[in-house]
Amino acid sequence: MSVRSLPRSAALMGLALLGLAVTVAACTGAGHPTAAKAAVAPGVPNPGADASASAAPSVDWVDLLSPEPSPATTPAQSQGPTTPPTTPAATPVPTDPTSVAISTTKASSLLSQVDHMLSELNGELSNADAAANNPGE
Amino acid sequence: MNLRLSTRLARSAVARSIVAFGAAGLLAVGSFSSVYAASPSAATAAAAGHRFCIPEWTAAVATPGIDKLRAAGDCEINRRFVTLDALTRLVNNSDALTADHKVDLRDVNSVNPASYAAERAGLTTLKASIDSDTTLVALRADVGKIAPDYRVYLLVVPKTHLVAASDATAKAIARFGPLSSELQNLINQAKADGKDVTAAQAALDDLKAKVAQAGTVNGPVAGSILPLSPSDWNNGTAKPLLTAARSSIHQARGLLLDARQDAHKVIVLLGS
Repeated sequence: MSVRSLPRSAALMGLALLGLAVTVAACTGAGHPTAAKAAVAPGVPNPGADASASAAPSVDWVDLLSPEPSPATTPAQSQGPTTPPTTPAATPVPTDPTSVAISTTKASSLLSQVDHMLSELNGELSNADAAANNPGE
Repeated sequence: MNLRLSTRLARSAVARSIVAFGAAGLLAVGSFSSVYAASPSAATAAAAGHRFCIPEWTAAVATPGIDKLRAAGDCEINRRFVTLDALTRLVNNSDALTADHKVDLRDVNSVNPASYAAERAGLTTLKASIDSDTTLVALRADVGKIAPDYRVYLLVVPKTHLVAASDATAKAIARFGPLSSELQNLINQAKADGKDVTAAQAALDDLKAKVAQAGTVNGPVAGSILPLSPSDWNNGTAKPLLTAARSSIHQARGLLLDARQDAHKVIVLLGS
């Protein structure tokens, strides 16, 4: 009985060791390209890590073991570093998310034209004031 | 120099009138600066072409006689020619003036008796008379016509700037038309989307009222001052009308600035 059970327990132990190795690898991040890079001190070049990461993509154990990312935990795209900054005036945020945003671009352009004419009016009126305040004959 | 000149001139009545003439010329500095202020190129030309006639008047006072007084009179007429030339350039290059008003100001016409062309023609005739006068009495009489018969600085220059300012006001009023329409479209769109547009509509209504009022105030300005003649200035008619015209344009400008604020308010309300 002991003779027959020995190979079975050895196989079970082997499976357990394999599982343990997989678990340890997953927890320490070994084999993850970004983890390899993170292990390098900041500012120190590590071309080997970059090369291995780009040349032979390894299994991403973290992703495999992690649950499916939910929308709530996914960072918004607008918060990413490559998103260009936007001004509040250029992209007004509607208070009601179901309503359609109204574009005031054309109105702002027409207002600029009015400003231009008012500026011209100011210049002409200044000339008239100067002529009235400094008369000759 | 002016003080010493005044002391000497106080010795005779003729000299006193000459001082008055010269002082009026000095007062015209402001008018010239306003004429040239709107055009840098014209300002450069003015620096090269225009000058006051202080040396001529100084010489006429120091050694009274026909030649010196004629030189002073010619100088005064020439500097008016320079002013009229500058006004012509100003009008030709003006973006504010309408085509009709450019003609009214510049060319001989039935609307404006003091057009540049009419003034120039009269001054040319007067200069010929001054140059041919043989007696001091006749010359003195002709030189004495230069200012009151033409009123280049008291009437023609202000009239030009006021008509230009009135036309600029009219153009600004016209610009509010498309803006007002666009704002009404946006308000209608926002209302259809279920937004509260009460404040925006009130601001737009105020804008429309102020622009209409500005049009009413500015409308008669050009027509009230273009027909003014030098004799209207001499009999006291022109000055109050010029003053009222300037006041009207200031009032219209204030209304348009308020209307502009209304437009801005509507845009902010609809964009938020």
